[in-house]
Amino acid sequence: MGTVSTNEFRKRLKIMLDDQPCMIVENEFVKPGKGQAFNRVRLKNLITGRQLEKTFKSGDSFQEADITNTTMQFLYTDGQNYTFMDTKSFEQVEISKENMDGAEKWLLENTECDISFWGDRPISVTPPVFMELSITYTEPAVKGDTSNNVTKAATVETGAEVQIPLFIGQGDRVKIDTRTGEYVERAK
Amino acid sequence: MSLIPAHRPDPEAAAFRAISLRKVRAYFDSQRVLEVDTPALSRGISLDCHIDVFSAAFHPLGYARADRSDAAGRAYYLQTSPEPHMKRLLCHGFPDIYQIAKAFRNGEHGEKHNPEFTMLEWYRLGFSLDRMMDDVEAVCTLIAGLRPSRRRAYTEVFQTALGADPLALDLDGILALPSLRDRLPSRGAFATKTDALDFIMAHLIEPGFDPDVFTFVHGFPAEQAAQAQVYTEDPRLAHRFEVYGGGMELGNGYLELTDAKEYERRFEEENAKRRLRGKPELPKDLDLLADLRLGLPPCAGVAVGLDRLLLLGMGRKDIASVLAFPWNAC
Repeated sequence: MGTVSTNEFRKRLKIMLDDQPCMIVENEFVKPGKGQAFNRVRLKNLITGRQLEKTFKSGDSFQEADITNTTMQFLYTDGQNYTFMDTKSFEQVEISKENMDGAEKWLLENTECDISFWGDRPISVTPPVFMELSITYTEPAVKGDTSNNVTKAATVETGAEVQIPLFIGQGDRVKIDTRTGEYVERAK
Repeated sequence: MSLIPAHRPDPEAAAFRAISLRKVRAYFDSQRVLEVDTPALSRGISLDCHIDVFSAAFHPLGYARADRSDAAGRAYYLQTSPEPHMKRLLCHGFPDIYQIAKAFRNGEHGEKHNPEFTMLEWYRLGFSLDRMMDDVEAVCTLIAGLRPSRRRAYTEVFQTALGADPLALDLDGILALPSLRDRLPSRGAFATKTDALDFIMAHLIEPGFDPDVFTFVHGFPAEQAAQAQVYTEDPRLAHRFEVYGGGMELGNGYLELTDAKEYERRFEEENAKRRLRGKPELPKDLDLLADLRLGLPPCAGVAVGLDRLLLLGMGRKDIASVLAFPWNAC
């Protein structure tokens, strides 16, 4: 991995800061007319997910973080760890529930996820943006209430709880946005 | 290769700029200030340790050829401000003057910086710094509808923000202030006390200025005098002000130094600071120093970043949005 200077900072660039891989969320160049230049930067720690603000002298250099992304298929879980497989190399990795960071609630067997690695270490799992899932449980709709804004709770086949419109029933399939956990539309 | 237009110049911003320039010209006409036009490319350059220049070479015709790597040409610089030439005019007996000039600063690119920008610079003979601040306010309010100014002394601004007197502390004293804990970059970031004060001003104080008001801060520490006169009654302070629109720096004004020897001394000081930071030295502007020997009349001068003023006037955030072709599109 090479080094990058603040001059090359841009959104989504990944650098090492205090031995932690971080992603640049925002980068602002601040320079008084007669003063020194700095970069005011908001970063996201890719391990903890926490955001932090830092100010660097313009021109300072950083090690780039060795972050790679691989598409892997979800195989199974024992409740503690989640096992994924690279469909090209057939290599498998185990990711602890803690590191799944909520992604696990959208996974079906064979779901393809984007997994970030810092070196060899998996640090985050991103499920597909949209998942089509069956409703395994929801209360029947109350007749007469046709307002579109009213929703009801439902459980989908992966076990996640979602809010769905009243006209959707048990056994129906729905499309969910995994970034927000929100219902998008009825799926066929 | 496919060529897709990546940038659309904005006619609304262009119209706002044109109207604003008309107002500025009308104001200076009414004040009998003469519009001047001086070179953007020249041998002389304003010397400032934190301002990096674009350089260009002049070649006699026929010498700028790919097979002649020895033809270095003669070094010229794109002006970082029209100040040296405008002062030379004053030395030659010109009256009050203003200029709407392109200025160039290398490496300065961001939401509030374009490496090429428009500077509105003017000089008023015999003006006090107070009168100059009135003048700046009159010009700024032509373009941006902020409320009239608050004028604050530099030391008061610091005292209010940090609970400490910036003149009484040295660099270590400043870095140790409890009010700055966890708010400063790493210790190595500051070579001098001035660097630390500049940082505090730009990062910790300016963002807190009332967003709807023009704020003037005056009476800067003498180490930051640049080309301003030092107070005769208190040599720790200089007759320099900065004007801000909300939290954004708009310009710098001075009660201009008139003494040629002192100019030369400050140029050398800036070069010493450049050496300290591992930057190449820049030539002293010998033409300016020669003309200063004719005598610069007592005057106040100010440089205002016009694009930023337009930004305020249009209620926009990114300087690229008021330029026809910003840095990434030209």
